[in-house]
Amino acid sequence: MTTLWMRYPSMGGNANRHRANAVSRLLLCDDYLTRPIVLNRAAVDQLTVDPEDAINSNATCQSCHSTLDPLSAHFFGFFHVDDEEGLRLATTYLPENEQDWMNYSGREPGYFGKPTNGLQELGQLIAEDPRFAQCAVRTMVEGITQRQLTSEDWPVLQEYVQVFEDNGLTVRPVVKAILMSELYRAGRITDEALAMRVPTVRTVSPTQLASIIEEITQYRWTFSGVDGMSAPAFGLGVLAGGIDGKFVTVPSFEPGVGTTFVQERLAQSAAWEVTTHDLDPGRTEGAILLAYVTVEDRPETSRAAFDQQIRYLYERVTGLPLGKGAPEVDEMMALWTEIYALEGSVEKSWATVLSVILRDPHILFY
Amino acid sequence: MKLSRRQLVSGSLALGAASLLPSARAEVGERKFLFFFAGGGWDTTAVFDPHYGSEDVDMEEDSELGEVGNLDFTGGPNRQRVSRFFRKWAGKTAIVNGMDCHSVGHDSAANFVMTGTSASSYSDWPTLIAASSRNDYPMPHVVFSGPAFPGTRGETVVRAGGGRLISLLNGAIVGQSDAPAPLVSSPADRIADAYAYRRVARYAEARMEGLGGARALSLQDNLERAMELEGRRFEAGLDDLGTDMRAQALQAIELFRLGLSRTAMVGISGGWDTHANNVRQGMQFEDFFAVLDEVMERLSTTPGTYKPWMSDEVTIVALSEFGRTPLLNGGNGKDHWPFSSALVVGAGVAGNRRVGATDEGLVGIPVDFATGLADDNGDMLGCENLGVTLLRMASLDPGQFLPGVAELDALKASV
Repeated sequence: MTTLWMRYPSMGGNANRHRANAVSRLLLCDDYLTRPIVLNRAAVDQLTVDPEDAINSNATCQSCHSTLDPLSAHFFGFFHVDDEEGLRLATTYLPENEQDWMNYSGREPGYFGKPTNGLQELGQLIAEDPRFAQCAVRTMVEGITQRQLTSEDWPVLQEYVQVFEDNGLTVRPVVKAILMSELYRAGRITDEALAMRVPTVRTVSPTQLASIIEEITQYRWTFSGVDGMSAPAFGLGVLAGGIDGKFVTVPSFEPGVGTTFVQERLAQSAAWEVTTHDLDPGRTEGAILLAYVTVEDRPETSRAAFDQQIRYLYERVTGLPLGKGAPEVDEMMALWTEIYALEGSVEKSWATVLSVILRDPHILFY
Repeated sequence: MKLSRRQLVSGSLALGAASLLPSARAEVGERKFLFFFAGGGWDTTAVFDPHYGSEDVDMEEDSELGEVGNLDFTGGPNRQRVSRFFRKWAGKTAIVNGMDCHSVGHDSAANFVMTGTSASSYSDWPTLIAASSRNDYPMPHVVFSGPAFPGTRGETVVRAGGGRLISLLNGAIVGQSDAPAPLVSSPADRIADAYAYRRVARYAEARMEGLGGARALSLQDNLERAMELEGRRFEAGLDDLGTDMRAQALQAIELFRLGLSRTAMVGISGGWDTHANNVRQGMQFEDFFAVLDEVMERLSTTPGTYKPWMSDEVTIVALSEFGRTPLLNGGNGKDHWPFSSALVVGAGVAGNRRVGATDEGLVGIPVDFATGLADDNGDMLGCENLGVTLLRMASLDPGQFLPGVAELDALKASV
């Protein structure tokens, strides 16, 4: 839990205000920093001389700080001053520090004018705030449908809010209602305006992509034991459209050039693992994917096996069976033959075929 | 007849010649932007905004006022490289002072300075410029180092830092994992790419309408870009993107020249958050201006793609998330300060001009946006004003992104 407060550090003179704004933004969808505040010259001068005095007395400053600072006062249990024990203190809740607001902002804990008695009461008040249900549902809808809501979505949003409130503010019924809605399940949308707002395909996140590949191939892309697709510092997630939580806080739902590179190289890595495992003549356990061919088979002598294998791969990877006359079978056989002619390796030929199938758009979109 | 990228890719796949691609985009010239960012908060008095004679501002010892044309700056024996830069390039250089960054928190101020807002859904200036390009760029906005706020336009941004992009591009990453795999030869790789591309093209063709179609088409577009980058990585020197500010900046110019990118971000080396030992700022500025000088030399001697020289096509913008307090603290450091400066150099810039000002206490004062001069009847200058001006210099309509924000006309060369 304390990692959230490490993500939003708020030390020294800032007196937990960064954390309070994070709570307001994440749970109430109310970002103080987006408020159109214009400081006049008197306020700037006052801030220069004594920031805390300005915050407490200047009307412009008070338009935010009158509610922000009491909210901030709840988080001093997570507050620490750097010292030799910095890491332990940063990751530990310290109840003895709860009253430290007296030494910093001087504003006692409260929630929009109502005095509170600690974090538990704050949590209850947030849950009772109508903005919380609106914000939570909006966050769910936007996350699941991968689009930003507009004013035209207001009626639908209220239906989901009702579901949320009727079920004691539990998430599962709302998620179910969103997933079962006609708009979410629509394969095509004929209304042009609606089609521009509601995507009929959604893009997998980097971690979803890794999970899908793992589910199909049993392969996980790791580097010195670190999961390459989920470790923010490794950089693959951001390149594949994910977030790093610091600079990149909004995922990209349109696949970028980085996404195509990541998918390609992950597919190649996974395909090689599967191929060397499945085509190993000494293998004792079952095949992962290449169950219909052996290292001895060639397209010209084992066409039926190749046909069966390629159809199986497509169905396993995309979830969709190829049609009777689907061109993919012949194309993959041709690819196999071309690669074999260049590389002279059955393993590399199958690995290439499998990697191309793993780069299918059905993997990336759902 | 002008061929589209898709027509070229289709043709090049058939011919096995991806190198046909670059000629498609040189026909329409677009201004490129190289951004530098000093993460941590630079001391504006160390170069851009000298305040000698003010009791409310601590200037660096042994420094003295430097003047070239209409530009004054912090000079002296410890600012040799800074002085040399202004002597050589003042005519192409504008200094923006007294710019309100609206925050003294690193994250939120960086967000403000780069996007003009604090909202995380807004894209930063280079992303907006790159995303709005008329031409196709395989790496529209390339981030070598420094911040990136892609907002909702993540597909525009390619992070080149840390070598990760390169290892993906040349395939080395498949040999670096815990279960290393061999790479097939380049011809085999291109054949595989062509098959993967056909499947994606069919998928996109079946979904042409609405937002879903746009995503499918984006996949197809970006697969094309990836294939082009793979094919041109040696030409573009992408196998060595460099790990330092100088190498990255010079590589950015090369990407511009080859039409691979329109905007780039390079972090300015050094620890700028000098709560102690503020004197480091001067040394770091020296290093930065040495690189900036080399960048300008390179731009001025490299033929442009639609103008005589690259220096006529590229605008350089140097920023930091905020400035530092006017007075030293007890540790000879300076703390966070909301008023900052920016340096804008090159194409489209009204050079030899100082825009905006601070008072004797380093507080921004009202400015006439048409002249750039202090004016009691003017407006306070914010980072958003600089941002929308850059958008205009990139031939975009800023009103589409931040409506109602005034442009800083004094910064534009046409004024």
